[in-house]
Amino acid sequence: MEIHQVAPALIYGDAVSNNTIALRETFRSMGYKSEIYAKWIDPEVSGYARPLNKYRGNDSNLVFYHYPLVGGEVTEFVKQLPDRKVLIYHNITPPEFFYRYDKLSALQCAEGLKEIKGLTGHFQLALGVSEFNRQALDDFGFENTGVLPIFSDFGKFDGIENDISGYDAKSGTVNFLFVGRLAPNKCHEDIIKSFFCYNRYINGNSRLYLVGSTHIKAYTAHLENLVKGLELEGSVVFAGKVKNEELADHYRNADVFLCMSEHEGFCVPLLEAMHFHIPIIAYKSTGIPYTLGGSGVLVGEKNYIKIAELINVILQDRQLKSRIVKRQDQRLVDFDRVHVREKITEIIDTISQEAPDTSHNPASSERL
Amino acid sequence: MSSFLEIRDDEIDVEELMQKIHENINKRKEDGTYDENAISKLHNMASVYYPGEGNLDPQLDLEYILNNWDIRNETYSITSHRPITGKILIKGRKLVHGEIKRYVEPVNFLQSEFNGHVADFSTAIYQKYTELEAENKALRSEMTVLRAKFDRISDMLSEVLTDESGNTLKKNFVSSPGKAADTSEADLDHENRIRTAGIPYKDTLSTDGFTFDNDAGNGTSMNYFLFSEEMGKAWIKGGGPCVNEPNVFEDSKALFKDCKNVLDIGCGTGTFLKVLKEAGIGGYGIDLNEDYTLLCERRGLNVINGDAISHLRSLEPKSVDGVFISQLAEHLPSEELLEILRLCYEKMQYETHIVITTPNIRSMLVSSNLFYLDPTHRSHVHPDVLNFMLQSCGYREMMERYYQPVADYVKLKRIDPVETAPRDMSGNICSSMTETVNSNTDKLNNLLFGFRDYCVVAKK
Repeated sequence: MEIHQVAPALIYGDAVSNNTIALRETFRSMGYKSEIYAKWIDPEVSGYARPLNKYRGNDSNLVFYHYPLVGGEVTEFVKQLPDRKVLIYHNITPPEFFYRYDKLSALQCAEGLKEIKGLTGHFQLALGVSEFNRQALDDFGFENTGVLPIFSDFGKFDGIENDISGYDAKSGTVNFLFVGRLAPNKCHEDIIKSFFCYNRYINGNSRLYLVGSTHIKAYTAHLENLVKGLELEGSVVFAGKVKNEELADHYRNADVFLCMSEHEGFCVPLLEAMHFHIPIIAYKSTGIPYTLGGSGVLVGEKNYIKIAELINVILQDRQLKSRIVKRQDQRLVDFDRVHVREKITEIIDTISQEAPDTSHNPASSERL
Repeated sequence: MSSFLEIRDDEIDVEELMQKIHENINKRKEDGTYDENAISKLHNMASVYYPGEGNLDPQLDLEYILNNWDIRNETYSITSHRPITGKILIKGRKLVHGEIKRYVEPVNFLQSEFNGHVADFSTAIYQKYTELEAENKALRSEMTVLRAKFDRISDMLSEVLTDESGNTLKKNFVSSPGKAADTSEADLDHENRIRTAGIPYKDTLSTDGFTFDNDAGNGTSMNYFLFSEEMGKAWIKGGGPCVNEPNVFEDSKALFKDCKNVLDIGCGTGTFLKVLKEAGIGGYGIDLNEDYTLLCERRGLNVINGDAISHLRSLEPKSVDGVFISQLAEHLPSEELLEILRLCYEKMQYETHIVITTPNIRSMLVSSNLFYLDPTHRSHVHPDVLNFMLQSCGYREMMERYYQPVADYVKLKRIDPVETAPRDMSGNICSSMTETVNSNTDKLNNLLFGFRDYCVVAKK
């Protein structure tokens, strides 16, 4: 049996793409022949994938389909494959988040949510990358659902110790960090407002680094105007999308990881913050509590003053900070390769026991 | 577990952490570090999230236009994933792209210019639309109230015309039971209780909306709308109007700033709820009188029709962050008032406020005259007693404030030290006599014509 993956796009630095590559390595280390087939391949990761039209399919193979925003012709391609199929759902953001800034994304999200509901009969198993996503799959009508957590490849950060982001470790500056593309569902404005309260009323020697792609032009402009309006130009850094070396540098210099997102399927940067032992303060919404799994600090309301004071108390109390980090370290173990590999073995065993090509007739199996 | 903070670690004391956060906030508030204005502006800044169902409203469309009117694309990049042929492909594509750009760019520029003007024009139209919409809303709300008044007056008029006895003076203040103001079961139940008790008794938890027996023999009852208007006029006549004086609504608004869930017990016509709503403060009211809860609903206010004690009992602990009780305490037996205060304490969050206003019995004009304008007033509530009740429930930092001063023309006049001062035989001004008389006048004025209302603010 060969295990292959299909994804519409493989993009450098993208969380889903990183996970796809990490899964390929895991399948290979388990002795399976494994490839990634994608329709659009970013030149920087072209060595990891093959063009989609090169895959012919085989009923003895197992195909994992990373469901994107909208599958369209890629979904149609997967549907007609004779392979046994597993859908991996990385979440679709509710379109209402985008209406104000990016109508195309809003329409794509709406279309994607509509499309996935029509796929329930085509996959033997549908996996969410978090329990939150699994529940969404249940709601869409998939009968066999399970969870396959993302495991981030922290190896990409190994051995990189360069100071390339202009941090001055001796200045005593408190650095806030959030990593994630600038998108309305991630509510960067709430991070900026919380940081404003900390910077203006508690500690002027502080900076906020927002790392992530700025491709939604209107939303980025909105945030830049906000920063200007709050007179924080010198203290807030829009770092954009960065290379792994620079990303590692941001994590190494961060004192606190602040996430105010109102919709996340999984949120890989939370794992990365755990990896770099940064205390996480996050707004309690959607997939975030599941990823944190009882670690980190969750806030239930966006009271900027309270959030700023909370961060101040944590940063001043070393014992408290190290306790939070210790819980995060314990949680991170759940996402290491060993744990995820066990989960994959379990999934492959279940699928292998079932007859191939069960399109339109999903067999019932125990929930994973 | 704090509603703000969630840390799932037995070794971390969340309550202690919250305490520390509150202490720091209070310290910074006291030493003036916080700029309250700037902080409140943060919360009022446009939220990004649109909680709609996908049906776009005009404001959202306008924002989209304003965000996206410039269509010039300067971020386009030409790439290829093919390792060998990629370089040639990129060069070829760049060539084609450059040629096309020469023709497309001027069109894009003109289009962006046009879009910019459309955006400006749309903004102007939208501003005008929102102004008219607000005006329309205010007029509609006024019309609803006027229509209700008109219906009642019209009913009364027809009664007067058909009344064989022709007792018009009495009918001015009386309407038949079963009309709009007294159709609720609660009111009918209330009416029965008054009849059996034989004394005006109020358990509606509101100064408004009551109905009581006017003539036990024929079953007619007092109409609240007319009565409250007459009572208001008498209140003003007795102590003079209060223009530009501090009022409890504005002061309480400042106190409840940033609150999310303020409870107005006995909200009546929703005056304070409206103040809260306009200030962007979350809250709702409760009143036993159905007519008034309906009126509040028509005014777009959050209100519950029901009994305050039962409602408070049904709430989760620490679920409200402010309580406002205006002109209610004097209608209640002391044990009911105490129970309400106790329940409020249980349901309020730590560090939040309760505000209670009631007629000021330290003023003799109130205690011997104005207080009896409302026959459902049960007993005076002395400020010291109210303070003691609050303290016994656990409240702290009690503070008394006085409102509704009596107009100067009602008060005893002071002697002008120059113009009207008494003089001795030689024509010299008797300053000491003037001072004594004026001092006595001030004392008497305070006793006789002190503030008409007082309020106690307390903190949990």
